Amino acid sequence: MPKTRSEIIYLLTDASEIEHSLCCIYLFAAFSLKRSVDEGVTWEQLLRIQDWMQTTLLIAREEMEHLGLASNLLTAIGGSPSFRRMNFPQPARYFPFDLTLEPFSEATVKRFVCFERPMHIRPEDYNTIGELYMILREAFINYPGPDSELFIGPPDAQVGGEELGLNLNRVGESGGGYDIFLFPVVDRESAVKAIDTIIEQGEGTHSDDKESHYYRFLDVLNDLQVMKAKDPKFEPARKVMPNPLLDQPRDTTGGNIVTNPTTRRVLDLFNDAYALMLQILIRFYAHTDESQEELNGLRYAAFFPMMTMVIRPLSEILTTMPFSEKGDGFTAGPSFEYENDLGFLPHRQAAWTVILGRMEELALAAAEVAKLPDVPERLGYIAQNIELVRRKFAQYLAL
Amino acid sequence: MLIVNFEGWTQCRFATDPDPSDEKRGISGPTFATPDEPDLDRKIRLQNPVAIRYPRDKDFGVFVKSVSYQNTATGAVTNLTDYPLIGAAVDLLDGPEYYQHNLILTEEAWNAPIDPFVLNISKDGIVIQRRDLWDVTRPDLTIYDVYTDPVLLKRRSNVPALQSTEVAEATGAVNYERYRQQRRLDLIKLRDALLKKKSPKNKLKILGLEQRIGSIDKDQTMVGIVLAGQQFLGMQASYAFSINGQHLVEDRKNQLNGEIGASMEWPLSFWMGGYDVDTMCSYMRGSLSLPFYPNERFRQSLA
Repeated sequence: MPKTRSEIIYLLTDASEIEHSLCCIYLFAAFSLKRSVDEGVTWEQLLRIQDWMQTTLLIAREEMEHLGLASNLLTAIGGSPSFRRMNFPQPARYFPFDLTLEPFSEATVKRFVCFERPMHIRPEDYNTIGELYMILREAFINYPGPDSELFIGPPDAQVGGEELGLNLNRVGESGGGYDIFLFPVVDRESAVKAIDTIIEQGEGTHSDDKESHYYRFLDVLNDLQVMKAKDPKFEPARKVMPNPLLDQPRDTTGGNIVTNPTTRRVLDLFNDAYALMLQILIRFYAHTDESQEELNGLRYAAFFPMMTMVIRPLSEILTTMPFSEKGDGFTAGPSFEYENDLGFLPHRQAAWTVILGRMEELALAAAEVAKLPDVPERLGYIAQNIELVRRKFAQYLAL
Repeated sequence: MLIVNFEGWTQCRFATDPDPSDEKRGISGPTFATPDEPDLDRKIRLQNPVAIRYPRDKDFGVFVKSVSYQNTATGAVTNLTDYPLIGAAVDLLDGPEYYQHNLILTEEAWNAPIDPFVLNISKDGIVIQRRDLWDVTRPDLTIYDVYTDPVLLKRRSNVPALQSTEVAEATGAVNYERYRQQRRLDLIKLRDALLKKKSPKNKLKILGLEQRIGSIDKDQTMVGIVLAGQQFLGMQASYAFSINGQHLVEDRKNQLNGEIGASMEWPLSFWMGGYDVDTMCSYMRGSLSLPFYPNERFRQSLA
């Protein structure tokens, strides 16, 4: 049981890495799914696929929320939000499976069910992320000092649903826009509430908690098995190469290097966009002396524009593009390569200049890639959106 | 001045965030195209809907409901009960869309400028049409040119309101949850009726109805979806600006009994609201003020 601030920070940093990794793994599976009856599925099958994609994306969003809550917990006790993680594939650590990027399949969903499995039904020798959070929960409750000694971080440096426009009101409650509940941590009570939110969403608090990740994935698995029983040839996902990579990262030895030149250009663009988004998120979750208007600028760029208008469509495009030039039907996918230079930029003005510089490079690269002869037309729309974000973000820098 | 009041149901088949705005079928937001429907296209339609869904197939369209004449000298207002514009079709031309690009172009969740904006009112040989320009000195500007200019953007931006009483009373959605559940029951009846026919031709329609029913069922387990659905049902986006660009007025049979002025702007105010994610339709109510110089016959009719 951790008893010191340092020990709690260590575990929360670990939790952040797991949430970040799970988010990427779920997104990869979701984006591998077929999107049209022209891809060899019936309408009935496509509707089920769309449901599974919706569920998997929802859970990925909630993993982002968990990462946000872990960041708030870290800030609250004087730590630093952590977006660092190891590249894929990674050997098993908390789970009985390696952390790998795999297309959607029965085996993949079984892994997801296991990731989210409640402690009370796990085999004795398995660790779960729920167990990690239970340890953290106890650590906060039993911390020997008073609240004022533990919670030394500035509450206004944290991120709540209000800032993100998620706090939609309804009777007796607030929050939950896009299924995200995000709030600042200021004392033991809110720290425990943050951890309970993560536990409830992940494994659930009751044995039949249908909204938990565990039961949602279990439903998907059952549904998939029914559909496979009806049509054994049914393949819900594209033929996506597992663990695609642009270059071999130093922190992993596995993976499959994409060799198709055009696809490599698009994957390079994706990785640059992902790195830029993380750079903005790091600054947003660990902001220092930014004004409210400047914080709006970071929020403006990081969330809806980058996540929904750049990262997702680029991912969807990649799972349609050839992995190699062998003509074997394998396609690529988003590799979420984590670059070594992605640290916290401590000086506000310099940080903003670096971020804008990255954004300018990304906009130029996107415009060039969109002009390549063999790329999907949708890249033009993505390039336009990156340029629109860049122009608006540059205005914030000029404030 | 002629004051033209219009209202009715409009359609916009668009994917909403967290789907990207160019999403064709609708996955993670509350809107989607069903198997028997074409891809989503984001176009705002006031007439000639595409793949219109029950129950808006019965009452679709925006029409002029009343016209009044205001004597600007005296302020007196006369309701013109038989004026030929009553019942005219109101339309927005040239493929207008709500532009936002998932908060890239605007930063408020419920702010969505409409572009291009070409208002058209027509009936039996009468056409009253005018285009709004972001900047009259630069007629070619589009939303992409002005989104970083808060002054130009604000002119055509909307003021949002949530849980609007006016919207609820116009649409009947005075209890969002009950409204959604009643729709679910109605859709189940429609599906069961089609199932009874046992015609293979209805297969995609049945799948489409089941997709809509299933989406409402998710109200029980997907907080974000139900919140989005309910927020849309009560949302009111109010626009108010004076239309300033090129105009067209045709009145070959001289039914208007006067001349509509085009050297001055046409004040317009309207709201779009009560967007029903199940039908992808929303209600519109508005008022257009037209500078008007009546002829003798019109004056006599007033007298």
